[in-house]
Amino acid sequence: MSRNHQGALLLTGLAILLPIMVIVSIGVGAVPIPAGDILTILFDRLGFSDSSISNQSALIIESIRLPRTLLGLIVGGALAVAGASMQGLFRNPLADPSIIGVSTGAALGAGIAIVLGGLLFAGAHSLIQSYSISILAFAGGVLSTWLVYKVGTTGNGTSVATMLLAGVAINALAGAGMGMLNYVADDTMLRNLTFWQMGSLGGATWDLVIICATLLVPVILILGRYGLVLNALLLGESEARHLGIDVQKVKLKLIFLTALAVGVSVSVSGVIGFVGLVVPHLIRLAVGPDHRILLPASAMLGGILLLAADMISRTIVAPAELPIGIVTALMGAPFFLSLLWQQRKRIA
Amino acid sequence: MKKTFKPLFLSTVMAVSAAMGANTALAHNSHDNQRIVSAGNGVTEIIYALGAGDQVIAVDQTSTWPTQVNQLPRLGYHKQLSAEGILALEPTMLIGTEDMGPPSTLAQLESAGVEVEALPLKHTAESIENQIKSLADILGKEEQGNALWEDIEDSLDEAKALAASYEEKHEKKVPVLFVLAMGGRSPTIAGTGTAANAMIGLAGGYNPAAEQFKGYKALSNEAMLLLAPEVIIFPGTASNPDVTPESLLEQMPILKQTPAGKNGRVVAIDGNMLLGGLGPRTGDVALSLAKSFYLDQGNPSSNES
Repeated sequence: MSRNHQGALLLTGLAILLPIMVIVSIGVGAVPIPAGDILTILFDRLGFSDSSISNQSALIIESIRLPRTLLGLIVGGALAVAGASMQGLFRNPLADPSIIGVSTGAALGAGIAIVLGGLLFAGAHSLIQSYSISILAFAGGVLSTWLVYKVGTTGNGTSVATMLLAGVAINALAGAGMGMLNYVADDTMLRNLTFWQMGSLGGATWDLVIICATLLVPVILILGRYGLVLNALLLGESEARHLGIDVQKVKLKLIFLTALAVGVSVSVSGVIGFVGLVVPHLIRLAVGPDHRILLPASAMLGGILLLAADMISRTIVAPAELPIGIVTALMGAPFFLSLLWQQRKRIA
Repeated sequence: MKKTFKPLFLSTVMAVSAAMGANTALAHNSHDNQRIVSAGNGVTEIIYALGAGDQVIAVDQTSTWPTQVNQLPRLGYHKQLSAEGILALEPTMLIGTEDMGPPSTLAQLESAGVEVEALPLKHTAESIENQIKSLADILGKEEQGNALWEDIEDSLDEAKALAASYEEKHEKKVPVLFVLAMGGRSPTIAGTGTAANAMIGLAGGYNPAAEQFKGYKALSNEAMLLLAPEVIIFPGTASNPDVTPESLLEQMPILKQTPAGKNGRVVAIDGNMLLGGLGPRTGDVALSLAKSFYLDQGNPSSNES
């Protein structure tokens, strides 16, 4: 049972690393703030002490770094656990949340908001206007997932193979839609579209953190409980059915939860690629495919890696910011390739 | 910023000041002691033209003129400003156009005590005047502001006069197109709502593409011939030193078939000047364009389109 041991070890290690990473992330930034001040500020907010730290440092911690760190943690966790669930459900190592169309659908929704938002939301409430990109991104993600699901579902249940193909088609369709939007957009909109597609946690505010936490933390926890079911699905659908699992219901729930997780993540932070694909593979390469370990470990590692990527994104070109999607792909892809290179005999 | 004498805090401030190589004097309300972050090409140019360039500590990506700004830290794209990155520079003021963002960053900067000035931006001469007047007001440079605007206005008036005398004789303005070489073989043309279109108008030209579409569009060869520009302007000189009139015609052979191409009336302007909105150089550029439209007329026999 060395695998179980390894898994427990990994989970413990990640659980220790996670809070360390959170503190490092709060400590790192363009403005140098000594560690002592950071602790004082945090304790101060918890009501423990009366600090005399400058307002500016307190403000940077409170209204810039802390919400940003929490958002990165939640979004990274949600993307990674959603990726792990999709790879398990589709029994396909290439599956990531984009395979059910949710990412490109969300991107199309955001694109519509960026390019046509002026027309669509002209008379709307200012609150709706300022969140129009998030709202349409979420709607686009959920709508395209629903379409993919509908195409893949017949009276006999949902065929994951059909869903994969439908996902490819929906992605192509959304891509064409984005092309159209690119064509009609003016210069400013084009820049916005491009930046949005490269992702950023820069828009983190407490409002967004609260919305994300209420929606995503329960989703991450619920998805984390599907370990045994996904393990059974690894054997094949009919085998899982014989083990007493209502496969159709599981599919519906997993797809819904993934669409929710990715739709919300994408709508607040833009498209952050690679986390959903790579993180579960890293865990699998380390401790094998047991979903009881894979799901919680992915959630934690996703959060840790996204925080690391965000630290690079906001410091490397300061005072400007490098879009985080570039960092995740730039870090993730070579690392993933080197792992594949080392382990290709074992995998094949 | 609240003043305290805690050694820890003091040492931070001192370390930061040393790193910045600047004094963090807390003189918020004095005009001369501002630490300005400028996010917008036009705004940066105006601040320098008003003689307040020594107070600028960082600029955005579009600001490339005057050349001193290339030594300053870069903020990145003016719609994707980073609150903490800017705060690390310890500015007292962020000046830009209403285009800058995101709003969350601006709000965070304001609550950190940074004065945020978002000036209205339109592609008109009035907008330049308003920007100059507001900036002069903010920086306490009213006199310089008035003088600067008068200069620009004189140049614009001169350009207008050139166009008017030509129009009287020929009963039309010169049709001018702004052409972007986007790497492909079909020319990308500036329509209405672009800074390039505004520049053509201020120089007394007439942009036939403005009636047809908004923004920048790639045109087919046939449409290009129909528009029959007598002058073509393109972003060259400082912004794209590789693009010369010859290389532009070589890259897009259809341009040779237009009246402008036949008469060799292809004029380069600094493309960076159009990126962040019109600015203090607009007057000079408009006047030199007007001269190339109306004084240097190539071969007059083929001017009838």
